[in-house]
Amino acid sequence: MTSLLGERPAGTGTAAPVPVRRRNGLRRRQALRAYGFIAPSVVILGAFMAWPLVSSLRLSFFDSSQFGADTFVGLDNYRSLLGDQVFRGDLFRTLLYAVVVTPVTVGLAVLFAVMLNRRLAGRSFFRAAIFVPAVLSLGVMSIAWDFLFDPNIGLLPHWLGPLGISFGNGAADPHLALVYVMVVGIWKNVGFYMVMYLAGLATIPKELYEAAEVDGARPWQKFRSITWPLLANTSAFVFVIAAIASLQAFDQVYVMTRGGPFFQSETLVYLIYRKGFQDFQFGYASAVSWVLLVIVLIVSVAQNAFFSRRQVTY
Amino acid sequence: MFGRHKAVATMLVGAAALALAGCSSGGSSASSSSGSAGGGGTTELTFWTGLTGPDRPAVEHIVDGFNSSQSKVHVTMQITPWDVLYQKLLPAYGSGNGPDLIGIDSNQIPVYASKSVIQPLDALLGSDGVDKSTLVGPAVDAGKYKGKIYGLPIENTPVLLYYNKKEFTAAGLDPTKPPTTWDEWIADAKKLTTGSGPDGKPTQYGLALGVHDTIEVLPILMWQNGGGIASDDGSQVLLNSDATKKVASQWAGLVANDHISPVGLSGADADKLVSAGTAAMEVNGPWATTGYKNAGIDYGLAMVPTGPNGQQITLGNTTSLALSAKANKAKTDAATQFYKYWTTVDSQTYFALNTGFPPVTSNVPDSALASNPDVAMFSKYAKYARSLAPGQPNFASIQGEVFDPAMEKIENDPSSVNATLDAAANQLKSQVQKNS
Repeated sequence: MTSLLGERPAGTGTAAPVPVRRRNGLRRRQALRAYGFIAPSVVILGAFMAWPLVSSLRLSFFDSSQFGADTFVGLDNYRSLLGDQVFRGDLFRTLLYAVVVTPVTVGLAVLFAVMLNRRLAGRSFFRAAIFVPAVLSLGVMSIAWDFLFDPNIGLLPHWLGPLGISFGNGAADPHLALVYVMVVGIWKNVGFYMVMYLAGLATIPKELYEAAEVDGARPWQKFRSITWPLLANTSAFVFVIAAIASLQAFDQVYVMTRGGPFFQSETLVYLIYRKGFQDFQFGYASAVSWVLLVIVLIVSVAQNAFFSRRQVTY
Repeated sequence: MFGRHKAVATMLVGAAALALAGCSSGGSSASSSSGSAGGGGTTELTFWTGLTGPDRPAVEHIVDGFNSSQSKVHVTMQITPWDVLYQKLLPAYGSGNGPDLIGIDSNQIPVYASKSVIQPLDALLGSDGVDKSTLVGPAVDAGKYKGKIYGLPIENTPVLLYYNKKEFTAAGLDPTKPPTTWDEWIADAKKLTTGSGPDGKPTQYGLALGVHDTIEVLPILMWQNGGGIASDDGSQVLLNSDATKKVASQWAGLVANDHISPVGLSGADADKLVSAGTAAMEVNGPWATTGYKNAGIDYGLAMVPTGPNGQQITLGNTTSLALSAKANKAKTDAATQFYKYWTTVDSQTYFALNTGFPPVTSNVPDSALASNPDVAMFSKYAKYARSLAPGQPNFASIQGEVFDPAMEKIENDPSSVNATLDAAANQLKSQVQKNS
């Protein structure tokens, strides 16, 4: 999908004072070289991001099966979206997924980061254990989780069932399928965000904590008044990518539930896949993509606005 | 200096262009080998299929055998997983790069026939071709669209009832007498549902009933009561008929209340349970035999028990060969030769014994199949097979978006049968097309 975190081009640099004529030549050469260096990225981004984006917007106004001519249908795709119960359900579930998974993942990441930032026996082991899911293939791991949750032959129900913990009907349970998909989503990303926060924690000067201790601050007060505010930059970044990742949940849905039972764990990205590549309704799928894109855009802009007002430095 | 900078820039741009060119040529080279019908030379046929299962080596063996048996026709086969195949097949035909021959699930034939990218196969059954009467009837019917044959069977099988003999004995049932009617089947399934595990679930289920991403079983039960998804001619939606509702309600109740099968199984889940010995019976095709043997399951095979209407009915699973609408006379003749070779007694005997699938022709003597009793069973009941939704171009969404979700919903809440099936039938009305 789309990552909205485009990198800013490197600073254009200030040239030393040189005679004007030479400076023009130098600038031209520098500019040419700069364009040369960014050309590969521009070509690749253009071909694989900008062009598909524009072409999907165009497609969303057409009835297209990628076979034969496309027919222009105006806003019909968007109109039928509104009347599509499955789409409305998927939209609700995608937002619910994001609203639950984003804060829980980030919260756990902060918790683990703060815990594992202390001197602790086996610290490296725990850090690695929590980070490992981030480097594993989500598709493969989803297969493993599906086995773990399986109500009949799964290990979790087998071990925890006798303790009275119910796993319902596993990934086929209409009330729990989305929960399991969420658990796997959280598990997958929490380690990566934890590492971000560990990096953020390393930038907080120790003196602040020493000063706070002299003033008699308790651990919670230190976290609230020093750690959390000074992690605002990290949080802004982590929240944005966590929200985008949540809105794009697909892999574990595809592997574990296929969106079922009866669409109860289907997300918008899965709907896009299903409509596009199974039903060949590319126009409709493109319309869903654009609805999702707009949602991602709104969420990202809102988050940016929110966090940019809360940046703190001491 | 300047020259070097320019060179660097040019190189970078060049590298990017090369990278892109590499991507695009890689994508199209596979389909650009459409071949040409050289006058007098070799006629080249491209053949795309998704037969990636345990049957793959046998398919490759027959294609190789055909290529070396003569010099006039050469078939180049490309095997890709089914989902990948279906994703690229229509776009390939749309862009004019489709293969000459495709081997696809018979349920997909109407998708391509309705878009006129494949052609009726009368030529293959003509005087120079294959004698239609030697082919298994339902397997030929499975490839029909609006009364014309667009797909001829290259692989065909009915599904049968697998039962675990050891578990039959343990439950006090006779492993030589599998159930033959619903009454017996249900009674056996209840007896085979034993133990109590976590959450009050049985530790062994009588039946593993797949309801999504599966070879369908519930439609067989509906047919056995005169119901179904839609009539074969597509003129009538049957999903909300009283006959269908009665079956759905009865079997959903057996699953939800008597726990004879776990709720909401996928086909793969169901197979896992049988392999693990956690389920005693399953309706499945011959592809399952290898896995169950490897898992050490001592299974027996039987016809799906008969239901209220007393008729022998099961579901047929057919892979059909279809020919591109663009194929000219030379290619059509070449395809005829290929299909003739595919359906020879030798090819069919080899294929049956090496894949477990019964022959697509009825002229293979029983004695030739005696060394594999499973094949003999599947072969015996092939004539009772019915297609799931013959001639329906919207088959994928009929199954994936309407039928399966409805069945999952009913299994989770059997009291919702009426409302769910009425709503589903309503959705089907815009998707089911007349097929005559």
